[in-house]
This record gives sequence, structure tokens and C-alpha cells, in this order.
Amino acid sequence: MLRESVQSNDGNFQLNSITEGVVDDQDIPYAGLLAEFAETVVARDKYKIKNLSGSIIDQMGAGAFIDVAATAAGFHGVVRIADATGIPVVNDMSLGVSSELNVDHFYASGLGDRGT
Amino acid sequence: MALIEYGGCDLPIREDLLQSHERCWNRLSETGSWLDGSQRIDVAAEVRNARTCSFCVEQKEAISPNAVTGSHNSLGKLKDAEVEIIHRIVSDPARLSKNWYKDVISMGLKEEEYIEIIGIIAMVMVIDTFTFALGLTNHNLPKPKSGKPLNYRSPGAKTKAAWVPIVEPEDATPSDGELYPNPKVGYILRALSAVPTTKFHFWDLMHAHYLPEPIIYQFDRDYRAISRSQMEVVASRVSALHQCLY
Repeated sequence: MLRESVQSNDGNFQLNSITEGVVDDQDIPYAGLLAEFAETVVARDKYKIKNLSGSIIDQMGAGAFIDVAATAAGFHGVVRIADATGIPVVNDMSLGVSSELNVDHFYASGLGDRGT
Repeated sequence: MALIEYGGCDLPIREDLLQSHERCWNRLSETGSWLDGSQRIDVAAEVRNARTCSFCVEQKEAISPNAVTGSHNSLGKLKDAEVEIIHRIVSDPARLSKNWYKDVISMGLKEEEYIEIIGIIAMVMVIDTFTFALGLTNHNLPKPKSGKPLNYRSPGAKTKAAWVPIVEPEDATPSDGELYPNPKVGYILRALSAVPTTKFHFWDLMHAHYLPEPIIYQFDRDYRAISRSQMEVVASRVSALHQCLY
């Protein structure tokens, strides 16, 4: 989905930064800040999240912050559905992406038991 | 009276988000397809309880979840299989395996119950994570409503592509409702389909949190206050941090 959305805007984004850490925004404005917010939500760091929320609101606006928070929250549900149901990992859009993302070290990669 | 209130929050939460949360909490309290209202609320409470389970922490830190022995700190209202499902899916979803799935089903849980429980876990995770992200406290869980589950499983559900039975688009039947409104149906949209109301309820919430189903695969327009690419950075980073392959 990330690759498709970036390509539709003729932009570039190194997909491996999603797994290894987003150190610069590349062609997606505020990508580093957004990734840091995602990390803070996943870690449930209630101290850091206050400052980061303020930064997003200051730089992107309060409406944007709501959509950032909504997206981050939504995918806390999506990942659990995907992992708990064992649906196939590979589809027409994800072909070739896993090597770019460098997910071989993920635990489930070694299991090889997701659907096909 | 609203089940979910954001009265103390001065952020401009979209009206469709507010309404989706209200619907979600209302549905959570109602009789499901396979669990009654009390069981559904017990599952939701156990989802929250799992976050403080010391055994979950031990498992998560171990090189393999099977490398440690012990038992989850549960609220004591659910069966062992249900507690195991909830705690593992909440705390360590990336290390679930097909063998684990078979084990929990062999403990006497129906596949349809498993699917409905996943849906409840996912919905509670979404709502609670949203309130956390906004710096707010969890909403009170709703009071369960009475009723008897109809035990509906889609007649088209088959165990083939995934661990759980799913309904492929060509196998959907009118009794399922409009399971797939669009011709392009990623597997994530099929994952809960054997219990159609579970699929409908979760994706109704996701349509407000992410994007409505008809436009999920349209990448050339922005529908939110952030761009599609910005949404995908957040979504992808959350998935990667969970070590989710999808």
C-alpha cells in the first residue's frame, strides 16, 4: 500500500526504512515524525506521546493529528486479525515487497505457515 | 445516552469517527453470532487485562513463546482457551503459529467463536489505542444486553487459504449480507468472513479509522487531512513494529 501510494504521486521512498527506522522524510512530508509517533503509540509511551502529539498538531494541524492517531489505532487491530487468522502473506501487490522491506528476520518468516 | 463520550477532548474528532465508535461499543454489548453479550464484554475486559499480564511479558521476552511455562493472569470469567487466545493475540501476535491455532481449537473452542473473539480483540484494541494516542483514558465498557446467538456461519466458508475458514468472493451467499461490496478483495478483508457480522463490525470501524472499503485500493486521491502516503507510513510502521508480515 505504501509503495503504491508513493508511486501514484511519482515519489520515492525507501521501503526498508519502514522496518529499519525512518531517518529522513524522503518524498513524504513529515514521514520521520509520523513514524516516530507510530513507534510511541506501539510502545505505549505516555510521556513521549504528549510532546509528539503537540509537534504533529503544530506542524500539520489538529485535523491531521486525528487522522494520524486514527490510522495508528486502526492498524493495531488489523495486524492482530492478519496474524491470528493465518491469511496468505503474498498477494499481487506485495509481490517483491518483502525483500525490499527486509522482513526475513521477522519470527513468522521462519515459520512459513501463513496461508497460500 | 451516548456510550462513548469525548466531551473533555478539544481536538476536532471527525463526526464519522465518533459515530463509528458509538456503533462499535453498542455492537460490543449486543448478542453476537456465536457469543452472547456477557461473553463479549468479558472478552473485552480480558483484552484490557492482558496488558498487565506478567506471563505475557515473560513469553514476549523469551526466544520462543513456547520456551516458558506458566499461566496467564486472567479475570477468571472465560475458559482457558479463550484466555490464551486473547492474551497471545493482544501481547504477541507476530509469533502465533498454525500449530498454536490448532491447539487452542482442540481445547474445545469452535472456529467461529475464535473468529468472533478476534473481532472483539481488534475492535477494543482500535478504540483503546485511539484514546491512548489522544492522551485520554479508556472508555468504560458497555453493559451487556441479553439475547441468544444465532450461530450463523457462512455456508460458503472453507478452510483452505488461511488457518481459519474464510469465504472466497465467489462463495459468498445472500444470507451473508453484502460481504464484499467491491470486486477487489484483499485477504485481510476476507479474514473474518466466516462470521459475517464480525467482518462487518470490524470494517465499519476501520472505514472511519482508515478508509472506506470502496477506496482502499485507490491511491491517486487523498481523502483525509493527511495524504495517502502519510497514512501508509503510519500504518506500515505500526505493522513493522509488530513484526507483522502483511
